[in-house]
Amino acid sequence: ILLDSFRFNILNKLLIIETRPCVIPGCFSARRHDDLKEMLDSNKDSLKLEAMKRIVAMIARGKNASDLFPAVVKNVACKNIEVKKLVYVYLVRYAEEQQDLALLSISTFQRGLKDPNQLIRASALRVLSSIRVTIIVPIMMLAIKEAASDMSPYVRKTAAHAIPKLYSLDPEQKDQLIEVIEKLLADKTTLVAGSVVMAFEEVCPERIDLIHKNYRKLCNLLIDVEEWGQVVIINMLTRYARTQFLNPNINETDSSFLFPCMRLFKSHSIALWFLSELFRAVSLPIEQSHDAALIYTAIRKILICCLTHVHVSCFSEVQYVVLQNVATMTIKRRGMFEPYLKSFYIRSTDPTQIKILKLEVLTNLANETNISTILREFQTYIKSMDKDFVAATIQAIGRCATNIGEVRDTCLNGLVQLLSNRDELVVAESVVVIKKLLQMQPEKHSDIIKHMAKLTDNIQVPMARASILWLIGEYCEHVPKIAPDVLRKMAKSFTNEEDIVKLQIINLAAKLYLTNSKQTKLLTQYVLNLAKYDQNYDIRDRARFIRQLIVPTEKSGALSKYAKKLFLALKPAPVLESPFKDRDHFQLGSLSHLLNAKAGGYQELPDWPEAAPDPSVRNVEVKESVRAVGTVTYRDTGALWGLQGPQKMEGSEGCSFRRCRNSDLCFSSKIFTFLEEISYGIYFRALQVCGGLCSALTPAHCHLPSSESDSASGSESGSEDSRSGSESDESKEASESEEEEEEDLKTRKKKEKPLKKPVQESERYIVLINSSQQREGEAGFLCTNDPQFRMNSCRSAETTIAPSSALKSYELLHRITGEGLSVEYCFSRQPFIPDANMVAVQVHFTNNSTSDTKSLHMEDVKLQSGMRVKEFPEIELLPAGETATAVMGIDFCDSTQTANFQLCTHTRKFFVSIQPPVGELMRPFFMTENEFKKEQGQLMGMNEITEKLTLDVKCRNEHAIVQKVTTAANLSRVPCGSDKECRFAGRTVTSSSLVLVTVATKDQGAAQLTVNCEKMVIGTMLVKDILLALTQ
Amino acid sequence: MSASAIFVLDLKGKVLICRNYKGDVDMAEIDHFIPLLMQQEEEGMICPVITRGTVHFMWIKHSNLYLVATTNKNSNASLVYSFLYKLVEVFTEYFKELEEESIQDNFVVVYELLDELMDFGFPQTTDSKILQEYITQEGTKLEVTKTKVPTTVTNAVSWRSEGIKYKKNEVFIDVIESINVLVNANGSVMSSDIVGSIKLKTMLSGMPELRLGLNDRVLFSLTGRDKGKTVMMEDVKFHQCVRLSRFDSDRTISFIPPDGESELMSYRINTHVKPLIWIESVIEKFSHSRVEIMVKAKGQFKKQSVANNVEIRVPVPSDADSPKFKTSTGSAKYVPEKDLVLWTIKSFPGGKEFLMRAHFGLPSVEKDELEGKPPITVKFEIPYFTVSGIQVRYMKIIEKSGYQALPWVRYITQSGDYQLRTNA
Repeated sequence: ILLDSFRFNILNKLLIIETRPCVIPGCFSARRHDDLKEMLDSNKDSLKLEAMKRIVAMIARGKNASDLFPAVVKNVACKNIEVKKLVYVYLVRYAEEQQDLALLSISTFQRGLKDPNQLIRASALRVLSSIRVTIIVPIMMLAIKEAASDMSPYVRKTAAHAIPKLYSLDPEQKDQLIEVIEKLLADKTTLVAGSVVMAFEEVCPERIDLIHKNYRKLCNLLIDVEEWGQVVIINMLTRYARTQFLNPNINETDSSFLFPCMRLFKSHSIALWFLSELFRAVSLPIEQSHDAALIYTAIRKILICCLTHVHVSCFSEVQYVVLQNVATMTIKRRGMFEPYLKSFYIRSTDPTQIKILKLEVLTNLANETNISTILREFQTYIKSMDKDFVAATIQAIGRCATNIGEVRDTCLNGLVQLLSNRDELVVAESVVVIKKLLQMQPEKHSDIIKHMAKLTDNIQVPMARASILWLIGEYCEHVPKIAPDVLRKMAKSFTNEEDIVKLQIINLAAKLYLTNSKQTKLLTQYVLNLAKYDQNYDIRDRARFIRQLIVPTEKSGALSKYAKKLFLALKPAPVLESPFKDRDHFQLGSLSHLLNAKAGGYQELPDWPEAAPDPSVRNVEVKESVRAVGTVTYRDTGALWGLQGPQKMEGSEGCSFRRCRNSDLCFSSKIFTFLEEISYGIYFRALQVCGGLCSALTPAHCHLPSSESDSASGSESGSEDSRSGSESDESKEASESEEEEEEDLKTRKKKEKPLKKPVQESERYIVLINSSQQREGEAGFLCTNDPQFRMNSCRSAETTIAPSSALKSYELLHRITGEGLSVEYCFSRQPFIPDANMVAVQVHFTNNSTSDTKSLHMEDVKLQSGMRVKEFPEIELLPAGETATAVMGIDFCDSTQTANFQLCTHTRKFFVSIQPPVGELMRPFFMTENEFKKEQGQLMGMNEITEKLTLDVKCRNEHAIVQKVTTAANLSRVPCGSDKECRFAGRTVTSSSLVLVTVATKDQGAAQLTVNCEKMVIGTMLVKDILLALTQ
Repeated sequence: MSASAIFVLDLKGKVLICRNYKGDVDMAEIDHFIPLLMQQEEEGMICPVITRGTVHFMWIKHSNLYLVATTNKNSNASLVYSFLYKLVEVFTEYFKELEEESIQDNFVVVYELLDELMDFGFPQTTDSKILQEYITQEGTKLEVTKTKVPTTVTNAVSWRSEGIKYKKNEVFIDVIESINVLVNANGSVMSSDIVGSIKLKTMLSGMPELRLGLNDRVLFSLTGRDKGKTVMMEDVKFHQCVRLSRFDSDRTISFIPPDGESELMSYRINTHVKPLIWIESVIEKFSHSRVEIMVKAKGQFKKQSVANNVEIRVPVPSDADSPKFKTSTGSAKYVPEKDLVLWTIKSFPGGKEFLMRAHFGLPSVEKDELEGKPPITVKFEIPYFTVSGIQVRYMKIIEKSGYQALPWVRYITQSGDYQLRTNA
């Protein structure tokens, strides 16, 4: 119906136009464009095109071509795409002005929307939505809805773009538009993702609930979305994170979007986009968080990216924005940028703006340790030709001096030296800064004041003169002899001074009059008299006011008593602050931040929620997640390796790795990640790195059988990996497996289904063949993408843990005292799932008696304060001759205190106790060598224990040392460049304090063991244990 | 999200071309832009964003043009600047040179491009390779009516179209490193880093799959090899064609290359580099009479390598006159408009040392203003050599049809921001 009414309308209009061509306003120009009209009316496409080109050129120049509208609109149905495109361009420009006429074209667009060619469909929609005419809102709505379910993603993308346009035209359509957005959000193509999120942000940013279901998908797609879309998505995700997750400082977070974000840095250079709010999200105590490594890496990436922008200054505008952001960040997070101080050194080719920003950053970064370098650098800057920059440098020195007490005197001396500079500007600026500095400790620096008093003869810059006078007046008691003399000189030149100086002369006179009226009474009178007749009314006012105040007359009784108090009150020293101090409440990277003022439409980021909203809202149905795993998750887990090595944790939290959210399980997922790495053909290194890890699992899982059979089985499975056997010629193999949480197994199994094939046991082995097979350029890539191989590693990961025979067992109950029941326990080194702060203890029951034992359980747990126990579930029946295993969790509070309890059967109770070796009170922690060194540097002194030892003959190679140490303590190996040193790291289970162990080997078995740990008791005990392990 | 309208202005502030995207900012606002800019210029504080009331102008300058984006919303500042630079890049691809004349000659194309690059203030397809497929410079190609969307817009491989053919299949790899050095007046290196990029010129048929092998330290340590020199790259960035997941997992750089020239990757290495050309200078200033300059340049690189087109710029006082030079090699020239001596050496072999002496007269009347101490800057180019030691170990080219293709590699080291501070 709509259509028909339009057609009618159109026909009417056409008739009018045809019959009265000269009535259209601007008929002169119409006549002038007659040739164009003719061309447009012709049958030849080439002529039409030529005409359209000329018309568009007119538009572009800003000339009015609206009178051609009817002639142009007719051509909207033209078959030629080039012409059509230009007609569209024209329409978008003039539709608003000539609404009635624009309606002529609508039917063509509607036809265009049905065109088999997706390009035409898309551009019809685009132009249609660009016509800002309210009357067509219903048509637009219809078109958008249709296009949103178009087959072509390109058209869907255009539909997403049209949404905000329609919304700005008619906000009442919001509800309907939200429906469309919801539908498009579910779209799986990267092309659409960016645009629809943009529409979401424009139309309904408050409807965060629409994101839940798509959150993980968006995280995964992020990397493939085009760059502009990425920005929008990241912005949205940041906001999402702020409303849906707890503050990462306090708690774990669902930071699955960090990964794709970090990888973005590799694909393009405008990474600052990402900065948005991450920094505020991630404050310093990140060590507490389980996503620490992730966040840390993310931040490092951002840092490095920022620095590249600082270094490679191809576009100074971008550099400007980056430095603004860095300046803001340095205020709160000085430590992050401190190591990169040198990056901010100023080059003489930088534009002034950039120089001043760099200066700001340097000043913010200054602290006790680096101040001397910075000051030396500043000295060079003072010699620069750029006067604004020199002034800024002197101010920066002033700020450094106020902030860092130790160097105040040095700075002051330096500034005083500058007073003899030949350049007046430098001197003036220094005077002003010195004035501020002196206000802090005036009594110590009377000689400087004297020196400055002498300067009044030479220095001409008013501000500097004024500052000197103020100083002398303020501290006239420290320079009693000079002050009156200065006043005398000033009185002489009073009439020639600038206003600002005159005011200070009056001030000085007043202060001297109050302190030393004998000498200066006449002078003061003189000055005040001069001021009385000054041209400037401010000065006249001031003079009158001061005269009344200080010179006691009959009338001015009350106030003059307080004159001294008024004038010589102690003034607070000025605080020199960074102009960037208050900027951090604006979202980094935004225009508002750049301007330091709210720009229109600025949205504050919401604060972290108090309580975590239900995370299950993000869960998607399993069916979908299976597919996602096949495509995306693999990439992401694989991604872990390249970035930062072993500290990487789980990549995509989504889908199958959901367990990772349970912080404690990060551990097992890490191992899974390593298995993935292995499958990617970098086995050896991985083995080295996770050496500690493997042994932490169960030593039984890393074994070295004879080489021949293995290589055979390896080639059978077609999954070979080669490396140059620089250290050993033997081939190694390892199968690794891990215990999985039950529900994980389920997901894992589902995921594997499409891949599943009968797999031989032997295929689980990953085989390394020595260098003879290695070919230049091929090494290491032989099996990179072999799907079967992936499957193998998955499978090996799936297999449940083997009996942990190799773990050291302790006796809990002897079979004689237990009347046939013997109980042993060992520390499984598995994360205890119900509670992250507990050590898992595997209890192994054997019934050696002839009768069944029933209802085995724990009772009457007696613990030291703070300790907690999670009892193992009751074993209802243990038949004669059978064995059973149960797991319990004990929180030892990072001490080796015993946990006492009663072990009950249906007939008897036994008093038993468990005491952990110190090495079991920690769990492995992954870090890089650099991080290790950094952490070690912070755990010196009391926290460091060093012992010299002679290694046992058997454990003089690296491998043995690693094995011994990891057996003695539940630590992980830190990758290390030198083969003389082995490093291990872990965290205590309860308090997560770092435990760092270094074994440095020297000649002939001599070695040095260093343990750094905040908990000194643990450190001391650990040293003993490791010493024992290494020397026996 | 970002811009409300985009303007291209000439130096006088006349609007050459404009495109209104959102219609929420009055187009007449642009008339205030140049006066505001002039005002800032006078105050000596030019800022890349200018605000008037609620309207913000974000601008860049390119040759004799201002590109300005207006907005009244809180947009992402760096995104807008990036977009403006992208505009410059796209226009330059289209017209070779972006300046007033090229805009005037190509109104239609520019307008169409503006239309295509941004929709409702939100950047769209900005890859000039893709754009060139459907916004043709020659509007006259009428016979070839396009009835298909360029597959590249919707394709998975958006940077390469299918059906490319070459008679001879070749890839040219340029490894270009520029080194940035800042040396203190007393001769200590304060900061140095290497900015490298690997550029490709691909002339390959079909959809080839390429794999690039570098002597990347991380890769070597992963595979357990530690033979030969390796390079630790920091802040690596890739062209979108590189499969990041592969790189992340095993450091393989594998990709389907875009046709023609492209930058495959860039990296930065923050290490202590020995300055390749070391300069020692003695600048003695005898007030009121003369300045004597002695500069010694030493090539601190391998004897086999040769630095080409070495330019050493030594600052001299602006009031210096009557220059006299003596050089052991190359030629020296006084450039009064920049107040420096330009010493050019066409070829500078490694390990060699050259000397230049310059003598200037100074006027007896000294000017009041104190001059700063600009640093000595050096420009050079060393072919067949990279400072970082990065090497292309192999380039594998695999295409369905199985043709043989030849990879060519070229290494160049250039000076980037190479400054040595002076004492005088």
